[in-house]
Amino acid sequence: MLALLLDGFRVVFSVSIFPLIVMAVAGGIVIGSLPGLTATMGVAVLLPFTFGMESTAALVMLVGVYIGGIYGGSIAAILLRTPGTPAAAATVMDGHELVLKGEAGKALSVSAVSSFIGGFISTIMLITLSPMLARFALRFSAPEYFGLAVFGLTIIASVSARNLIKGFLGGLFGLLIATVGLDPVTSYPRFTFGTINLLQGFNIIPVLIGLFAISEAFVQMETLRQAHSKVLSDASTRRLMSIREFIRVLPTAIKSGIMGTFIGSIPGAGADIAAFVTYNEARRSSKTPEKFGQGVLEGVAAPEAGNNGVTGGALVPLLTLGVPGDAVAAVLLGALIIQGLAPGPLLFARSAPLVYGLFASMLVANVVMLFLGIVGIRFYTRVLQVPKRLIIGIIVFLSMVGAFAMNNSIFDIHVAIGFGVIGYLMRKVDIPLSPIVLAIILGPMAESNLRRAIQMYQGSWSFLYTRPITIAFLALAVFSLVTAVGVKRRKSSN
Amino acid sequence: MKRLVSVLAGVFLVTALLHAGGAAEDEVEYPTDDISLIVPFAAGGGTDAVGRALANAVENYLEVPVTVVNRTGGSGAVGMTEGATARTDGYTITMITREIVSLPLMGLADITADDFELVRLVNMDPALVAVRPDSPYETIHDLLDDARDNPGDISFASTAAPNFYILTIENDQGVSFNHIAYDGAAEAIPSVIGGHTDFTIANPGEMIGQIEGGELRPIAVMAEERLEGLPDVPTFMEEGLDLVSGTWRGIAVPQGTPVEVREVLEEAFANAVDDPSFIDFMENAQLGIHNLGADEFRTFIDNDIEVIRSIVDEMDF
Amino acid sequence: MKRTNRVVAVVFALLSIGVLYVTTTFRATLIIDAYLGAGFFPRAIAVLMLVFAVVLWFMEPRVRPETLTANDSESDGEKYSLLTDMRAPLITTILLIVYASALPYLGFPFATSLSFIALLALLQSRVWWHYLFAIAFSVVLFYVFYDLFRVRLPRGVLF
Repeated sequence: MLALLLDGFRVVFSVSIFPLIVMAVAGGIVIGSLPGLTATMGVAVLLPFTFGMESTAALVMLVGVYIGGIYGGSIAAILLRTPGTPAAAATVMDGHELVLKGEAGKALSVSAVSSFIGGFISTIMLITLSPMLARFALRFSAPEYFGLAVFGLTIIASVSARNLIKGFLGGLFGLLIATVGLDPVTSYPRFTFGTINLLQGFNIIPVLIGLFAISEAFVQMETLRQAHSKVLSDASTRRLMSIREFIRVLPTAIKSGIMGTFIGSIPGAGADIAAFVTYNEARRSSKTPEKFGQGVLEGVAAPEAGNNGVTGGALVPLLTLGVPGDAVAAVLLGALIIQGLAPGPLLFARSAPLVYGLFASMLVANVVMLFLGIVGIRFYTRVLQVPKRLIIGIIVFLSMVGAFAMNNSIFDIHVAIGFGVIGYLMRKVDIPLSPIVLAIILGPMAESNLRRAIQMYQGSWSFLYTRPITIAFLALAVFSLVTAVGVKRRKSSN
Repeated sequence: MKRLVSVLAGVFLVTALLHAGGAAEDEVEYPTDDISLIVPFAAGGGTDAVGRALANAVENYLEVPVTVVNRTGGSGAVGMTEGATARTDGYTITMITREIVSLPLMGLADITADDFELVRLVNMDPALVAVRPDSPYETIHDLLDDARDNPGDISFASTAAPNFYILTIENDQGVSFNHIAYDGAAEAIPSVIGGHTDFTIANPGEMIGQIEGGELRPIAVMAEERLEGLPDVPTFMEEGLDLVSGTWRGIAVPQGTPVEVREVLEEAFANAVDDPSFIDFMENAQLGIHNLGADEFRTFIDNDIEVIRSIVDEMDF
Repeated sequence: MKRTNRVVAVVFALLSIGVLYVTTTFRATLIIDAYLGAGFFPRAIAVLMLVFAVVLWFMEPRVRPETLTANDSESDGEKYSLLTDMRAPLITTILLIVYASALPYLGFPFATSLSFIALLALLQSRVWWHYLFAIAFSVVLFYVFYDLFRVRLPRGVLF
């Protein structure tokens, strides 16, 4: 295996491949940092260009964009509070608070380093533990997915920093939004009010863009009138994290990377869920959970290591079972097929050089991402120096493009505007936005898998207490809820 | 400030009206501009793959860029509705799928195949029944006999709801399975491999990797002839069941598109489907080429409407 | 804060009642779901929402000094006049709706330039190059997306 991997590295560092990786990762970072342009879309857009390419080059390029894209989402989330992808929504909570404290450089360096750690660990696990991870993933059926979704939803309690009740209301609102569209079992059009545009429900990207980016532009408009807000960018804001801080966040990043890999290896659970679950775990295991949400480095390290941890995990079902683990993996599956390769158990045996070339390029792509991330910080932070009025305009119109781009739909632009207003009003009345996003991600997963499970058990609910993984998740859910409320108690009795 | 806004709004409106007035142009030279190909399913899926490969191939013959536009939603209803109601200038063409027949019959879409002028049918994939390698079902009859003995107990991982493959079998054989509705083959296949459901029915391209890797075992194909890639798998016909089913994809333009434009497109797509690069791609992906011109495509759809109508009528009680 | 909370509670309560009403109009489709059905999940959510809305109505907001960060003062509903501050967002919303509706006719570069300029004027920018930037940004953005990312942004009559 090591020999194969070394051969892989030899390919990766060849003149024809290495520049491709650098370009792909850089392109991915740009795409990921723009609102509405997700890693999935970047990979899909590139796909036709790979038709004529040699297979290693094609895969390397797509994977580079994937890895860069997931990381890139964090840049805009941290600096502008405008997560371009659902996977970056968890990073906003502490990332942007750090910027407000004048620690933009720290936040960005933690994000780059953690993304690297998450991605690297994940690739190592992909190389060494794929068969085991695949067996783990296969144990997931409807009841397990339902348990995972319920557990994920309890994270609402821990991300509702100030007001639990309002957090729950926000979460329920998100769940409601997620029920719009054709019912997953009976195909009855729910809450579509006769418009065909809502049959598939709300697309999460325009909703996310509205809730975060457009509402942020609105809030910024208000502060224009106020006396000059504090300068967010000077020499000190570009300072990176110290060695000490690095050592402090390292355990969080490693743990989150491992968790991200596991989550990524389950088909259907992706970077967005990983980011929230790892954030929740970092907060739970922290000695000072009440500081989360006010700008702690671990609050950036966990979701970033977690969502990049998914990059390796998502390839596990693809390479071992031939089943895509998430939307990006689905596009990669298409790429493999176009190259004449059947993904699945035989891929390792039949095309070992290709697979190990892919592994080697993932490791290298993560290093490139770290390098570009750290070097780029001094450029990214320039964004903070752009005049506020221009930034508002840029955010607004990039949001318009982002909302449109996913589905080429003017309707989605209106959706983004509508949710911009909703998000703005919610921020006015102190309803946190993260629970809404979390609920939109997990709501459909909870509902369709609950109904699937009941169908499987022909009407019985016994799966709730007869399947070990489901029991474990439900127990975790209760535990997560209790600790979150406990933290809240401790906080208010201080 | 308010004045500026209202002036701008005025400018918007006037330009919009002017534009609406000038929309009727005479189409002589075609194509002179980029063409959009609407694919009503998400990037990365089977329909998308066919659409992109076809767009790639047809560009050479139309000599303008053909861009794939994914318009997802409502099992294809959103994209196909947009395609049917697009301008009839030939610059918006649509990949239509079997859903154009099934959705209106179930009352889930307002458009039908009659809202399109058909250009060419390019692809048809038969339905393939597969089980776990250690499954007790060796033939399709084992499965059907067990279903007759235990109605509603055998679980079927459905790639979409409703699933016309299984309904065809159920109606014909008078059996019933426990349908577990998944969101596409990518979810249904692992549930069979993982032992959570008993069998699934999908297209060969969606399962070939698992079949070759020994994770799934095909037991019968709902086609008239055996598959080239899987010569050992019997057809339903050979097993004494007169059942054929599958999915198909074709190219269409909105009703009312001028005949000159259609002729250009028909010729270009006829060439594209014969293009070696397209054929290679389809073979690699285990996608079946089914090449029918506009008129035969129409007959083909009329037949499929009858098939699906009989199933839908059966469901309605 | 208490008054704001009560308004929020009423809004959510009305929403949940609306949802409950709509779920009663759900009809069966051709596909039978013998168990929970299409209405179960929305109904459960709406009931929970109603419960939490009632709780919020009766809840005494406690001011917890240690959690008051810079952000709190900003989002605390009663510290400033809601309406004056909301004027710019409100006008922007209307501008954006007009923008989105006109997009297919005017085309992206033109519509975006116009709207960006309008937004800058609304925000009372007095820097001339901001306006030039708005036009350049719109045009560059269009070409980046149209040609590089192959996103078919709307093209109008002229551009």
